[in-house]
Amino acid sequence: MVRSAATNAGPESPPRVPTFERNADLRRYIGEETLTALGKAKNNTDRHRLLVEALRKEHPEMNGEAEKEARKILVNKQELERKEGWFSWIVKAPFRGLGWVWKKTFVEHPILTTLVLTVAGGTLAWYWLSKGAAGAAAARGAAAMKGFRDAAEAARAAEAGSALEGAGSALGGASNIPLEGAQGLESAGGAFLDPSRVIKPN
Amino acid sequence: MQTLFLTTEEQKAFSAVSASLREGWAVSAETQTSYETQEVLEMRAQISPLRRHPKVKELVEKVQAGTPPDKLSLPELSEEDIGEFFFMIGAKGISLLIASLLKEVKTDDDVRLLANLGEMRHKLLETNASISYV
Repeated sequence: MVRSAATNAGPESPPRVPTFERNADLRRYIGEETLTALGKAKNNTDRHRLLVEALRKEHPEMNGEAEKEARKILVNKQELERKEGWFSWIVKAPFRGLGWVWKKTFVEHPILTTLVLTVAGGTLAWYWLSKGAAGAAAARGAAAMKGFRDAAEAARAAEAGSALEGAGSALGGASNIPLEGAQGLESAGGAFLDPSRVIKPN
Repeated sequence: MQTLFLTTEEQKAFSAVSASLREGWAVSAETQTSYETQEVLEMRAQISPLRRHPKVKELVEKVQAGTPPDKLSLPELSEEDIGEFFFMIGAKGISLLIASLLKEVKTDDDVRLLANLGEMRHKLLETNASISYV
């Protein structure tokens, strides 16, 4: 059964399921009974249905939001487990340390720093300033975003040559990667700075 | 011989790198397709502890203050935080870095970096494919 604690809706909004940084917190939220049922589910459709039922039972006021919130729980669970898998590989990765990769990538190749900051950094600034803010704060956010993008364009034209465009076109031309990769990261930048949606570890 | 995991398009770009730099490297086709969706990248950003990292917060504040990207540098981070960073940007983000780096390859270390990034992307794609709940 999904526990009723830690939803953070406003007085007139349906309750929202929080996001968890740690698997233990997510498992505690979902509850043993539902976890067991999820483990026995035949496929993803069944997992989703089980969670929707559990959410509706615990939060009847969720109404139509239960399906969306159940999907969020499943994505949260999926990404926490993927992260565990990633870190278990990283510790025995067959290459030099991550510190070396970081230094080589972002210290010795400033264009890659510009790339990352252009794609994600500007959006972080915009999002943080404009999210939940109105009037002047939102305008400041939009201005910061525009200024950052203008500066990025100038840097790109003056110093970076065609590297950034090259990255985009390489992705566009690749058989497997959709060009919206950059937009996906920008959107992720927004999520990165929305503190209302995350339950911090204890 | 060491292996470089590159997509078909990346292999074309790599073939333009000087033969002496390519020597000793075997290119293996990166054919996996389980790149992150926008929904997944958003979730990774939300569950990343980097959002509370003082140096990352400082960087974001500089961005907010309008500092142009070419005047900024990414902070030094611990290996664990770097692992968090690469997980957060995912195979999709690493592909952007690889595409950009391919235009800058000038040394053996650059090729080694390319190999490391390709290896990390390969593992992330493998992990993405192995765990899927939606």
